[in-house]
Amino acid sequence: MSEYALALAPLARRRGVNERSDEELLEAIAAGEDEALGALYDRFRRVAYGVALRVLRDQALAEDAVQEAFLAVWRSAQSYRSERARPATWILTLVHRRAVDLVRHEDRRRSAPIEEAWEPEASSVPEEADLRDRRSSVQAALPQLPADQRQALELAYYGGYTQSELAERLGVPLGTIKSRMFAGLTRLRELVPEQ
Amino acid sequence: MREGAVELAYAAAGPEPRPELRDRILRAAREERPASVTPFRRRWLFPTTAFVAAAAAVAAVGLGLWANSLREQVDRQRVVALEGAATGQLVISGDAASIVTCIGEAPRNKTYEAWVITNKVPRPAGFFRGGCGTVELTRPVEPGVTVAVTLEAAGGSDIPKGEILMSANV
Repeated sequence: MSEYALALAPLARRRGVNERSDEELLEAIAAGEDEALGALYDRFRRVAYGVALRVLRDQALAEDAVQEAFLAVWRSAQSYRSERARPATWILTLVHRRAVDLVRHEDRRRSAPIEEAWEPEASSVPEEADLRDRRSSVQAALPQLPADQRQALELAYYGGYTQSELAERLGVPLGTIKSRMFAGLTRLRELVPEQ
Repeated sequence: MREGAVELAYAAAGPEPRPELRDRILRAAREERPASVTPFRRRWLFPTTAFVAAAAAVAAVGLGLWANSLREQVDRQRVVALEGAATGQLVISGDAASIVTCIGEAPRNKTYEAWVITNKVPRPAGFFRGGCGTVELTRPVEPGVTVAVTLEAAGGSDIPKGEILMSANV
């Protein structure tokens, strides 16, 4: 967070927290405004909890992952760099990392069959339009990927498996896993362009 | 992969988290407030920095020029983000450096180990158990080096064997 950005925070504070952009909320968080942390949580809570729950498959652990990630946002908002990633990408990466750290620590995946499909129950609570649109785009794009590419991407992301672990568990060469993931991600990005 | 496929996060539709989670997060954040509000450069978090500052204050009474020089040293302090699966801040003052981090306690029989990597050669720079705190590095940190943290067997290692948990290029 640049000093210039910090200097802007008081100006942004004049507007209600819910009217501020994600970047403005991060600037306010870097300046120690806990109300902004609450607003950012409100904005991303469902997608953050959704990915944590999908990885961890346990409500309490998913809540821990989300809490740790938002506390990491609180502690390190000053080091957020908008030129590196959008706020949503940064926040969801933090949540995903915490969830994967926990799932690896708990060794929860080992007992689950690798083919097992697991979908948490969806919520009927409305969410912000841009997150809802992005969710719809990604959900529509995933079935368009070849099955082996989709499987590799989903197991790596939601299962927290490394490429080597996937190669071993799926019984294919490491190079095959790498090429499936690369091709899958490239195709996914064609279908769901960066906003 | 982890960062690359962030799109998949959006597809993970799920239920709402319990309302208590918001309160938990904000309560924990408020309890940590002193660690977050003021930029590191302005605070006397670190014993060495506090010493320099105190020395500067005393010297200012009779040795104005020397005090100004010490103040300049404090102002030269620089903070670089340590990024990776865990995060922290690398606080550099001259060629001395400290890591400030909040990281889970290392498992039994393990320790976190800091490294200063020069020209791809890693050298041990201190151990710590984890938790929230400051770790003074035992090696100088000069421009061009990389500072990294790994998880190693208790007692540490001469070469890093664990995955890099966080790192920063200085």
